[in-house]
Amino acid sequence: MLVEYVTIIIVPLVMAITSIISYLVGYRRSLKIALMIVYGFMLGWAILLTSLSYLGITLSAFGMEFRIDALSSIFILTSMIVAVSCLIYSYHYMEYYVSKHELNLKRLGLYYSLLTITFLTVYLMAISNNAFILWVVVEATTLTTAFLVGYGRYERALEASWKYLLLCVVGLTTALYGTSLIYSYIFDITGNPYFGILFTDITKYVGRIEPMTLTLAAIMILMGYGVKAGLVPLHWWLPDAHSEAPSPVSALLSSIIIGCGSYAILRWVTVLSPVFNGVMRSILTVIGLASIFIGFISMILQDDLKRMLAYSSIGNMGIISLASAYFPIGFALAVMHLFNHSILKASAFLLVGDLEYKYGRRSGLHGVISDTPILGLGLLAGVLALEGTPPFSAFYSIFGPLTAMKNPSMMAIYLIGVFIGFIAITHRFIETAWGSKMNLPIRKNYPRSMLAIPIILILITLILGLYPSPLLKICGGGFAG
Amino acid sequence: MQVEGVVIPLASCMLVTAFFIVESRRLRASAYFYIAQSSLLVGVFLSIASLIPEPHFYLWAITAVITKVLIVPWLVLRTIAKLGVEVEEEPIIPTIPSFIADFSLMILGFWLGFSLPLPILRPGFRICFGTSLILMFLGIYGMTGKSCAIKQTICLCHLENGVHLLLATLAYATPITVEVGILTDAVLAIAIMLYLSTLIKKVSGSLSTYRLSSLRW
Repeated sequence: MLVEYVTIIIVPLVMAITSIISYLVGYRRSLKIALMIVYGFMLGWAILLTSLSYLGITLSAFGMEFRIDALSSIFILTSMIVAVSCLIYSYHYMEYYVSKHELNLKRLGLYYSLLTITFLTVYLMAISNNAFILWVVVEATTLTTAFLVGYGRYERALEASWKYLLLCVVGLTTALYGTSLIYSYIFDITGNPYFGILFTDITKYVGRIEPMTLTLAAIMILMGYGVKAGLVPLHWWLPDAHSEAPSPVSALLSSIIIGCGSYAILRWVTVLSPVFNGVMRSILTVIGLASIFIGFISMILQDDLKRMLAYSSIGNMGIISLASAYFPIGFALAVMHLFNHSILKASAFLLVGDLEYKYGRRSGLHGVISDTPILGLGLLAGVLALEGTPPFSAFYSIFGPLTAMKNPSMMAIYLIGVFIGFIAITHRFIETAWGSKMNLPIRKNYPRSMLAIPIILILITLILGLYPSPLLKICGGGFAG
Repeated sequence: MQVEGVVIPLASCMLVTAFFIVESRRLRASAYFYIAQSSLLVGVFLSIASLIPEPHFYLWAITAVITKVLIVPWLVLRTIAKLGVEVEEEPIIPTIPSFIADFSLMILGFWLGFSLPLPILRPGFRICFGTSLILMFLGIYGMTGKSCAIKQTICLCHLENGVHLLLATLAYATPITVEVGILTDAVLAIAIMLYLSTLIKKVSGSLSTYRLSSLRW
């Protein structure tokens, strides 16, 4: 009882108060300490929730309006790991960013306020069992991060922010149409206005919905949340927003924010797939393969490392979409890939942020290992881990779906897509890390925390790759919880 | 009296306002047409509420008055006054092709609204469903076919009217918390877009999002 109410009332309240205080007090040392304490508490709580899921315990409160199953807890844990990483990384990076773009240092209070409110909305999304509230909070994540994308207030940042807001708001409307259709049908067949709202109730009645209406609703929901996840064909906002945002925000966007779109899709898959497997599989496969190929092929054309990582995110969201089509085994691996990709992509963006901090640029770089061996090796380890090289945990989530596919042609197409992604990204990052030393003016005083954070993230996936059973067990409960 | 008898004239007037919201090049005029359209939306809710025993529609009417007739127009008109911009930037699509696009989208919306197999729709609600689709299509068209940031925001408001009508048609019995959440998001999205518009004007000296093309392929 206590755990439920702390999860549903105290934690969001603490985050909301922290956000308000950050805005009111502005940027000062005491704020940094307070934020560290609050984010540390949130991470600790996320670990507790994940441990409960590991033990097979599902929490719920307020008439099932809020519910924390394995899928919720793994996403909360992911977002809190990224939250703490982004927070610590931001302390030095954002001071550099603010001076680079000639912004007022006091405005950093607003940055931390928006960062906290974003994690609050992500948290609310993960604990919500209400299909409409899920939509509301996914849209809210777009609104808070639109400010963060345009934080630099220069023309390109504002353009990226505008494009992001416009596309996501319009796209998500489609998901609301789909949700309303399902609600309306369940209301019609049961006569009860509350049975079409909670996912746990929708699961019971979705099988009675007329197939044509359900197909239409499923397409609308997948397309709508697909925009947020950066899935093809409405992915245009993603490379711009990721490349123009400050690096910690890019890390947040590429891991958790597009993850929110994927989370919403996975949540709907748990509801729709058991009764509607054929149609769901077709839609998810088409969107997934298109995203894998368009995302990974577009990486080859990019010079800017952040844009390249952004296109890699499109491909990886495609992997999650495709894997989730193979319910239930593929679905468990999709949940696992959501975790792995979030951690590793956050790490990759933070490492590119390190390059930007050190060299003042993020394209045309080479020979980083000569200047900073740990950063160069971190870059190499990061991309290898991201592309599913053993022994990192992404190996299971990238190659595991093959065991669920069974169809040799599908397996071959998928492997070709993954191979293109591997070649495109490792080629560019090897070039950046190795090669002749550059004669560029470099920043000497280099904060250790900015290097330590992404390395720790890579190490987390290394440990989970060597001992994968706990993660596999929790992710396997994602559809059963 | 049948629901259709009252809703059809109101929905027709909404479509006329939709055309002027998207096509009027004077930003204030566009905002005033939006107020007219929102008032008609309130009229639709009140008419339905008085004809069928469904008290939820009174609640929908009240929230529509607060958000769509009062708050959002106030925000839009305040930003127009603050920026001192009266006429929209040059649209991406010329006038005549744009009119053709408007009418084509209206026909598409009607066709989809009346041909989609939705046995769940109550008698008289199909016209609301069709109108909501048209408002949504024209809203999306306005957001992509017009280059002025303020005009795109007004078109988003217009799209949100379509969403509101759709929710009232399909999901009118949802708890008030759901409706408040959705409307709060809509108002916040519009407020943020207006704020970004002022920043765009300040930084680039223009409200044209078409000129912001440095990130285009």
